[in-house]
Amino acid sequence: MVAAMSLLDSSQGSLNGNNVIGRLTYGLIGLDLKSKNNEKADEYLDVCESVFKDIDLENSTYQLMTLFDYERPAQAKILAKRLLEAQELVETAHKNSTPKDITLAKEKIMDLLADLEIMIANREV
Amino acid sequence: MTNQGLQNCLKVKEQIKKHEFSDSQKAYPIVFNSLTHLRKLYSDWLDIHSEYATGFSQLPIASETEERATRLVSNWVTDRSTSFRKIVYAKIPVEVYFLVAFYFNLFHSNTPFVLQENRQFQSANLEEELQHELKGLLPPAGVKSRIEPLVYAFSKQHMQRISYDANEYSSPQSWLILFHEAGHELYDSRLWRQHNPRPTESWSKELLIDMTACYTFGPAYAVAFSNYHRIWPGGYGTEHLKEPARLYASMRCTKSLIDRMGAVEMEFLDKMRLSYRILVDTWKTIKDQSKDDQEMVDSVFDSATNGINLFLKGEMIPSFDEFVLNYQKSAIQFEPKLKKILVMIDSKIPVSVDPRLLFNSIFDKPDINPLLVTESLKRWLVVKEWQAIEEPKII
Repeated sequence: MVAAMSLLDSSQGSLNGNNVIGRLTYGLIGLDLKSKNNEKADEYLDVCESVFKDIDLENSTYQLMTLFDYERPAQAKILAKRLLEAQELVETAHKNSTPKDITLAKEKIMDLLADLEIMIANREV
Repeated sequence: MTNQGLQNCLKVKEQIKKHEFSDSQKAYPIVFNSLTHLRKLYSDWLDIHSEYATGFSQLPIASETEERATRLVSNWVTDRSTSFRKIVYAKIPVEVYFLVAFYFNLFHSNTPFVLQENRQFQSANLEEELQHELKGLLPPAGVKSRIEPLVYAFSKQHMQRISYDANEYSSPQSWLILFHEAGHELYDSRLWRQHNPRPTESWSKELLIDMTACYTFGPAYAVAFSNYHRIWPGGYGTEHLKEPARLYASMRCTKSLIDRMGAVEMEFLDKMRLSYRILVDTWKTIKDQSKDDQEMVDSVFDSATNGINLFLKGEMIPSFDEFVLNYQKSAIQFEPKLKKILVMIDSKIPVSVDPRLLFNSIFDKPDINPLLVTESLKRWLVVKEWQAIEEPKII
């Protein structure tokens, strides 16, 4: 049965578990390099921004729900909203490159990553 | 700064490399070879993680960001380590490996696979899982690493990870649901070619996989699926696609098989009819809410059946009814008559017999001792091996 669900996951699956964490971590590295005017920053930020590409609140909520085995839609929706807020901050920081924007986006990603990690850890229990 | 991710990789890799398999895992070549192959793949996988960790540690970034990056690697490693444990410490009897291998062999396939304890029945390719994990995550920029060649070498390997619902590990009837997961691999590699145009909706693929299992393995598969549905109606959430449609299609397959099995021993035929009644009883409980599913299945059932039959004929795979009739006709040494199989199972005596006959004899016994089934599977394997050995020529 659940093969149907796994099929759904793998077909939509750019936003799932560790891959979300991976991409947000790349965002953090990109922002860090950006603050040092390192030329490699854009490569990392592009990877991070691709998490948000073509997703809206509804499907990112659904995909985050896969982390809870489809059991906690409300929590998934809150996290999905925070993902979208992070998206805006990363895009702004990428575009403007001001220290204030970079710091804001970094803090947002750090908070989100910490919560996602707790969520993943709980899933494994 | 201590590179936590890197240290974690090395530690876990060492544990995996040194892991000793249990005696029962070592006893059967199919299980031992699969697990040894898995151990090698996981070790390679951890090498890739280790390269990422090394790369991150060489980037000119702030220490808190570096710590974050190495924690990402630690997360990957923890996931890999958990996944390995769920395979090597899986509670499902090792004899179930024979059963899944038997199903692959029915389709002339030797796909390497491992069984993993999980929350649900699922299947995945390890090589696709790695790609999924690293999707879009370029190797750390500006740092020399072996990531690309390692990932390429890994992608050339093949291993199917088939998960089962941990609640069902001791339920022989539920083991048959693993055929559905194995069916995904068969479908992707060969079965879909029979369908032109290729079905695009994911539910139609599920339907065809179920129907193929039912036509080749017999009604026991349909009953297993139906019983599982009764325990977990609607699956784990609304995302579960078209379960009523799949139940209805399995029921129709069973009916069609029974209609084609007119000449088998009466006791066995009665057993098959009983399987249909069980399916009808389950279907009755959801029939009213599933009219659309019924219509949808009715509209594709005949063409799907034709496609599957063509596929089976083309690949020289006997359907279940053909197999039973052949079994009955040919007097195979060491193998009991159909009626005798039912008597032996009822008397709780392990019987060395083809898994299709074994499971189609026990589907109505939910409380059957799993040891009786595993012992039967073991004996069947030994006899099969024995028969395959050529008599030594006396000169």
